[in-house]
Amino acid sequence: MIIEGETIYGVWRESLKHVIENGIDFRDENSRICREVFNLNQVINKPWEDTTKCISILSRFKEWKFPPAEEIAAIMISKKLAPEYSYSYGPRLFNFQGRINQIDNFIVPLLKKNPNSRRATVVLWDHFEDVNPAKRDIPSLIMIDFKIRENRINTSAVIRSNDLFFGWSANVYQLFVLSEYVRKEIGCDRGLINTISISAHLFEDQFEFIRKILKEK
Amino acid sequence: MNKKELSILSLFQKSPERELPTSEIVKLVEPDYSKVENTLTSPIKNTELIKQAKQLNAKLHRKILYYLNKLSNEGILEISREGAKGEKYFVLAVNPEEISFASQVQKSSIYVPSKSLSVSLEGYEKQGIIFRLDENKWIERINSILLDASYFKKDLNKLRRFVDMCLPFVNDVISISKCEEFLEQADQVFLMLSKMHGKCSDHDKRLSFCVDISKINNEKALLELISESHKNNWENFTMVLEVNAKDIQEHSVLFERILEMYSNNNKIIYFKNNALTDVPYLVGKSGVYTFQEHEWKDVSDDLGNDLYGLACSQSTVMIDLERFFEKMGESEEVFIEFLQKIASSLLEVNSIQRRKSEELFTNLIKLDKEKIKHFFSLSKNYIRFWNYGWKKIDFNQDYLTELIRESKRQVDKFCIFEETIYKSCGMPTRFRIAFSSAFHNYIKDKFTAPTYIRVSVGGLNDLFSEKMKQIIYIKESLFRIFDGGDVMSFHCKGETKPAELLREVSFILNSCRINLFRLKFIGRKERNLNLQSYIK
Repeated sequence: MIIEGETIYGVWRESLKHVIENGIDFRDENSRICREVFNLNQVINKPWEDTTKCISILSRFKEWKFPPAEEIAAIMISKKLAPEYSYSYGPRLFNFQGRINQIDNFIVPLLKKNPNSRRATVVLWDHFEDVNPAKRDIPSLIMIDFKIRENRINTSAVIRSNDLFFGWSANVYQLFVLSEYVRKEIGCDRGLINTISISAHLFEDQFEFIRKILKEK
Repeated sequence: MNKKELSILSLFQKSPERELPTSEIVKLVEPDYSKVENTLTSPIKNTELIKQAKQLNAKLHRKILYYLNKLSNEGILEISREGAKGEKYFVLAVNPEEISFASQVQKSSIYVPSKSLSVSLEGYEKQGIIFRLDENKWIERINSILLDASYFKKDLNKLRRFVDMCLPFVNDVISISKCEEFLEQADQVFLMLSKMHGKCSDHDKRLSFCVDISKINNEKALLELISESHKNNWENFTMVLEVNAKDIQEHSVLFERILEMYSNNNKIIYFKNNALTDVPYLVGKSGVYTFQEHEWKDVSDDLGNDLYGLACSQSTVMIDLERFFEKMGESEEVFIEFLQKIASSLLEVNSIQRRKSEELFTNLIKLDKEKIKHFFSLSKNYIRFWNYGWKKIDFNQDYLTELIRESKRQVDKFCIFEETIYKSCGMPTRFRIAFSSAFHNYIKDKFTAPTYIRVSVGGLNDLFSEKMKQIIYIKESLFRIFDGGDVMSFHCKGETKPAELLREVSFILNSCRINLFRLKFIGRKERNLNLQSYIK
């Protein structure tokens, strides 16, 4: 299934509706009822428009406290792992296993040298850390790819498990932040963002809030 | 990003929709511009001064234009048009929320909000409804740490160094589990413990020792340690004896002697029922702390003795329920909303602790950099209740129990949402809130006077009374809700013989589902008319 739209907000709404209507329920390992569709492909053509609108909407509810956009962005670009996080994206991108800066030392020079490269791919999955059945928290965002075509940077990501309500819009904002970082280093125009969620899901306890959002125009 | 750029961006952050001309930006961000303005608008016209002012004005314009162009090149600002005399007008090219991000990309720093934490709680604090544990340092310090004696492989010097290093980061208690392992080195233990206790007292912190009686192989050393602690009046030292009914039978002589010592010295003795729980209990100034059974098991299985310790609690808010109901009424809705505000504030504190942990807990991280992420893997926050009425006359106990149970459900739901949000945003972190009760000594100057009913019991027979059964039943149900751990206090009075006390302890261990209880011998001699105990 492909859901394509101009803005993050538009694609988010369509995706929420799609999973609510077409998802299949199951009970996850924490006994929460989960509604899921497989391999949902979401394409945002203009991610720079209304970039943080979904985050603002999620911040309105009093039943939870959503992290500010600044914090969500910082996690993608901060090279240091705060001791309280079991992992975070920034260190995996900029300091993988404490050894490899995948962005500054690979993606940027590669695309500067050969803008048409098909190799500009980074992974966030760390076999040494994550291949452990006892480990509770492992990254959901597994791979990010950058393609420059017609001088526009297009960013694609594979998300193995995607909470469409709380997580996806934040993930797309993080991808936008990262693509902006790369774009500024390379000097090209903004492009689309494409996510492939292997398990795109919602939790039953989120349904009432999702319905409220879908009712809004 | 330098200060000048940040000043410029703050203008646009305040009014994101505005278009600002260069001259206005100069006026608003350059303090030296006032000199220009003063000279040019002065009624006294001095040609030389006017010339200098115009030169300064041009210089300031050039300076600001440099930064404006830089921000435009970075895509943060945009030139919207050129006005009269070619003056450039600027607008924001990014969303206002992205301004902080943009500045971060330049700095690669971690975002920390400046908003005051206590904003939503201040009103309640002023009314004496709530009290934050160590309110001035409640971000910089965590409440309680458990150190695992087996990690130190009987190296008491190393243990002492760790305690010393942990002390500045803790505001309530450092507890050491499996202390029976140290008792083999009796002489050294007294010396080290004395030093550790001295340091803890200097910092006004508690030191708590957990001793598993079934694993002890130097009873004499244990007795000497208790004797030393009493003789030297170690006010900040607590020993938790981890036992089950079988241990009591097998070590009856030892226990009679221990009970006699505590009784003679008017001290408080703590028993943890090992048959009910494997989890250690930490006794702090403000109350007890513990871990969740299943989580504790997972971490113990996974890490074994490889981890020096665990943070047990990060931040605590205490609530005087009597005052809350008096000032806010008894509406369930209002109460739950109030707890949600507290949960929200705790989340904010945790969030800041997370982001600033490298600077806040530098020495803790240094202790074992590799394992530091496990250090916080079981940590949580506490909401402690005071005067929650369970022994008040004519109080609807069922209503209160149900109210606390329902509010716990709501707080747990909030925590689950938060953990889901943070996890799904790629920053998996732990956020839990446990309920527990507050110790009287800690809040006596802040909260309402205790409204307990003194339940008089005389020896073992009184433990069988209907009234006592009811009280124990209520306390057992509260134990199930107070997932942060709780303690039941038996205040012993009169000259009860150690053998009789031991039978009482055996009865409680065998018959009550109470994980932690204490016998208080304080004030026993003053009220020696009956052999009675009261339950606090």
